[in-house]
Amino acid sequence: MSDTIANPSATEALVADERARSAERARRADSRRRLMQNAGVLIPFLIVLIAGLAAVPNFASSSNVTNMLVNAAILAIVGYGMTLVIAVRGIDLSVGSAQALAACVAAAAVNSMGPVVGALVGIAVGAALGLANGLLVTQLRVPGFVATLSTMSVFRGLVLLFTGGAPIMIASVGFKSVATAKVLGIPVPFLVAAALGVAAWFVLDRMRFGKHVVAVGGSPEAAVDTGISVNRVLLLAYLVAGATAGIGGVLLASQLGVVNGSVAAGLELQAIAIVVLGGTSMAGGRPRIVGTFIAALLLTMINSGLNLLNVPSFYQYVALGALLVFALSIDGAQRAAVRRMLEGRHS
Amino acid sequence: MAAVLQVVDVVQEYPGVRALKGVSIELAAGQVLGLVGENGAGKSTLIRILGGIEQPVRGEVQVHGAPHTFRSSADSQAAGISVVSQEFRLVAQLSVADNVFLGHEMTGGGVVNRARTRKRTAELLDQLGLDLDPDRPVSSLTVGDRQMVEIARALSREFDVLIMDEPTAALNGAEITRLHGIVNRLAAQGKAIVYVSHHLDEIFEICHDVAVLRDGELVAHAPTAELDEPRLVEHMLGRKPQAYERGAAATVGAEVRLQVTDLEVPGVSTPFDLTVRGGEIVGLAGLVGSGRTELTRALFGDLTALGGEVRVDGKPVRLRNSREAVRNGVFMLSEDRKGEGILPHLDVTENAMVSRDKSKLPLLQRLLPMARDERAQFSKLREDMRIRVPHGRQLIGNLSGGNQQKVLLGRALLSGCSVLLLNEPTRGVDVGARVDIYQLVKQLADAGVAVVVSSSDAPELAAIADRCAVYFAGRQVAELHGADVTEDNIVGASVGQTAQEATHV
Amino acid sequence: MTTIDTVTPTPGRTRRGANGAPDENGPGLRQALLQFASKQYLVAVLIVLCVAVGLAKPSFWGTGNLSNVLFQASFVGLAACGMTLLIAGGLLDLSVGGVIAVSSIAVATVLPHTTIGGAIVLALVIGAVLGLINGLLVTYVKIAPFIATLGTQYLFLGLAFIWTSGKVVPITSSHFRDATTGKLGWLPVPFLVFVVLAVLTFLLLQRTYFGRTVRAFGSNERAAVLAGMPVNRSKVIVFIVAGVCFALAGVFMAGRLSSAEGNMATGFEMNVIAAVVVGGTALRGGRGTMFGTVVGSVLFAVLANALNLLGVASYWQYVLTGAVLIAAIAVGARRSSAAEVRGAG
Repeated sequence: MSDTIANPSATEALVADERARSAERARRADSRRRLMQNAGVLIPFLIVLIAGLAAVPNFASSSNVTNMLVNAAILAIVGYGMTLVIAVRGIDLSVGSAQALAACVAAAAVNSMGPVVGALVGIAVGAALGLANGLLVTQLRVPGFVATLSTMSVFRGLVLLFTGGAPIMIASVGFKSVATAKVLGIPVPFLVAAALGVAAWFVLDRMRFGKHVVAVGGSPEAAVDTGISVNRVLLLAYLVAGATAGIGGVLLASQLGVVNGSVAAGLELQAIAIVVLGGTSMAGGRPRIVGTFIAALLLTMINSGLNLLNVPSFYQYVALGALLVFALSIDGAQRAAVRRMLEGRHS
Repeated sequence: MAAVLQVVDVVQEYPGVRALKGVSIELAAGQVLGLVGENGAGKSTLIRILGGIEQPVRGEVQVHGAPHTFRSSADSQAAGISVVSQEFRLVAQLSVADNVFLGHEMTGGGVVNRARTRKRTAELLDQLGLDLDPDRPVSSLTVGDRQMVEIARALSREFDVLIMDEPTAALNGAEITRLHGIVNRLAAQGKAIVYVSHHLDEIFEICHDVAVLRDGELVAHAPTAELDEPRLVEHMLGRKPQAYERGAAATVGAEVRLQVTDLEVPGVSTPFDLTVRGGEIVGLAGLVGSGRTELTRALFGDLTALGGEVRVDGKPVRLRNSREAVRNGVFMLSEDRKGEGILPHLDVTENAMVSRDKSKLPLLQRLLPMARDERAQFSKLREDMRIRVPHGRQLIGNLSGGNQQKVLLGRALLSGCSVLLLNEPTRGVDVGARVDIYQLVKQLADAGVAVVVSSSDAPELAAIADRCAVYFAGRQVAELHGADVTEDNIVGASVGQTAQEATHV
Repeated sequence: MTTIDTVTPTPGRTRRGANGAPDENGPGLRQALLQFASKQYLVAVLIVLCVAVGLAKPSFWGTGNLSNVLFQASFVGLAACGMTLLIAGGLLDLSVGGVIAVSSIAVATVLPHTTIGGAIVLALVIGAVLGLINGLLVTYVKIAPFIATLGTQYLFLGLAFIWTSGKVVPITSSHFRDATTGKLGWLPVPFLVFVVLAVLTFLLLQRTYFGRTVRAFGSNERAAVLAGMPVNRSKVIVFIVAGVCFALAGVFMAGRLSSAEGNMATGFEMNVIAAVVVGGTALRGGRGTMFGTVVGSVLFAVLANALNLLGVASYWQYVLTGAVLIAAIAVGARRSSAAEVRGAG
């Protein structure tokens, strides 16, 4: 046991020592987190890519690549919205139903009002549904997961009522060609997804709104204290999630050419899976748009590979469920590792 | 003197409680006002109202004579009030610079100007005498540095009124001195400052006036020069301070109940050693971040120790989780009673029974709870511990802090522990109940339990501890015995700058 | 934070005054009445609904129809018993549909070869195993309950489809159908089983150490852990018990449909959660009301029956169930923000 410390210089030394150790711990925790985040999505991505190229016939054929890029684009766009919602500690389980409603309304609108208006109507419907979710969460104080679980059911009911259970055929050839059109050999939807991804990254990393998103997700109390309107950020996040579901719905309608009330069932699970797999933590405050984008490609490759191998579609269910559980375990392990490293500094 | 800030007859109510009963305070430019009061006197409520976090039921806040209604902290900041909050309100995922300018980012068209943010942050930190890279993530800072970043955040705004809620709780001696210099300089620049602190010597050192809150009322407001410490304490308590009468020197039993050797706790630099005998009350003192909280958590299995040995009643024990700790005769009460102590949906009887040692009960009762027996047990506890509750089915959330703590002590008693770890046992407990709790702790010790009290309240440790270990930045820097366990010695050693030599035995 | 340092007057005191004798351990009469009244309001809603439907369609009151309503209520109700335990512990299980599908497919597959009892036991064991998987994911892999079970929902559904190759498995045993859809008097067997299970669940939650632990970690998990309660173990057990309840619901659903398939209970988790929450068990955990769950289950059955009698498109049920769930939670949030349980936030 040491004696009472009598001089200030000893104190300074102790403080400096503590400071250095603290920084070192944080650096190690940070590199560990980064490693797990990147490894969590890149290693599976490479494995699936190599396996697909090696073992799956026609995997790299131009039609299959195009198909995969379009599918990945639709998924990634919805994933951006989900990334935002999860970054503010929310969740949106209603994206699938919202996308179905947006796609069906868009299809009907394209038939009656033309492709451009139809597309805009579809996106507006998605945004409106997102707004409804946001209002339930911020104004009625219903927890996000149960509010959107309920609206998942409500929106699905609405789309079935809207279509009466019958499919809607889209007449406009121009609208249908959007999903298959290419610029410089790259499908248009994929370019849209890439552009939206860059925009989302820029907003989250460089703009005021992005800082507020991180603050609301990372420490809601700090956000309130610094005068950030938490409700506004939450409302916008859900609104954006709805709007991205709407954009995805319009692209989906264009890709399919005929839509019915049961499209996009289970989309919420895929969206959550790619977001978490991409490294966005369920604990909030760490959005990772790039990860979401890569994970969308990964999931699409898995689905496409299983299709080409003629594996019955229900194995995709199992694959998806397993992937989600895997992604969540990584997220949990990563958080536990970081906590262990930082442990002891919060007294 | 024109008043910069006027609080006029502010009333705040929570369900069933009047937290503020019509408080009026005036503050002039260049004035430093010390705001003191017991826990629960209404200081935090007043600060939250000034910060715009809460809206008062009645009354108004005027800045420069103009009445303001703060619907959010943004309104309060717009009116020129800046707050350094007591809790750490930083976003761990953001950098130091982003945290300092959070909520009032320097932007062009919504895009954050990173170069300017970094430069301004560096200037502010420099002013505070802190050499920190503005790009470092906040998660990598020590507790003291985080507190400094909070202060930098408050200073980064345009403000006329600065409110500092216990800014020195996590700072060491040198940092405190520097902070006092900054406060004086701001006052000289004409800013009005409200300074909240539990350390009365600080109040006397830098404040021009003192306002005392008690039970939601302003009971005194006078220039510091007209007061001295005993009178201030009298105002805070509403009566002469009734010191807890320390009984005769504890009859320390011979047997060692808790022996800790070279315990390595994650995040703390040096291994811990501690020996506590039955009947002994050992205090652990130190600032926030000194490592004493981690020690109690590790002893309770809540943090997993990396090495070393813990013996309870001579038996070496492994403590990997709280359940093992309870089984091995160690019990801990957390400092966060609401978050980690009470089970709000359960009634007081169930709350007291949850940790009960079932090994000595009849077989049937080990399998199923017997309502009659539990009622009888609780009635006995209620008598013995003077718990003021109308009946045993009362929900614990509706009790006062002191009564909740007594129920939790009852829980500890029924667990049949040999070692009891108490963290901040009287935080949020009123004065009357405080003495009750000291007596209960003493009774438990007299019954042969080894008691470890970790507290940031130096007078508390001086009142009840037989022996006191003082920690600083993860190291034990002093051990005080018997008559040396005084408030001055504890505080001095805690900030690591006492000149007094503590006697060693 | 401001701490609250006063003893709030409680209803118990009024009774003490009235009797002149200190009231030792019972809550006051007023508190009991208040508690009863807060349950009563849901019963009132149910009665109003029944009367309204009866006025519009008098055939509602026919014994056959009422018996049918109770029959319908029991499927949701059986699963809701398990869900009430979960929600009281602050947990949730969205894999209801998957558990029901797998366990009823098991029943349908083995029935030709075994006794009815054997098939039912197998279904319950499968329910327990699937519950165990959920429990382990939530407890030891530390995944938030709703998302872990969302994942396993798809795992279990995939399993069901793979098992049946996407086909319907018929149940040919008429004994099984009679046993699961029979009546005692005019009360359907599943409803009687439901009532018995509800009583058992009530006792489990309120009168055992296990139930106390569940309510404790539902109320404040950190505090329960620090009090040395077996939190992780109890969580796993709750998921297992819930899995068994879901499987039991699956057994009776298979009997009603005379078959089993992967899609037989998709979306069922919504109805179950809605029945529990509308019944008054708050999602934040800490307590559960079995009486409320029974009333909630019957309420939704009446609602579905009414839509059916009135000839409304069945898609409206999706919309209504979701809307009623949101309304119930929004009202509950408002009531609890009036500090029903202080310190629970």
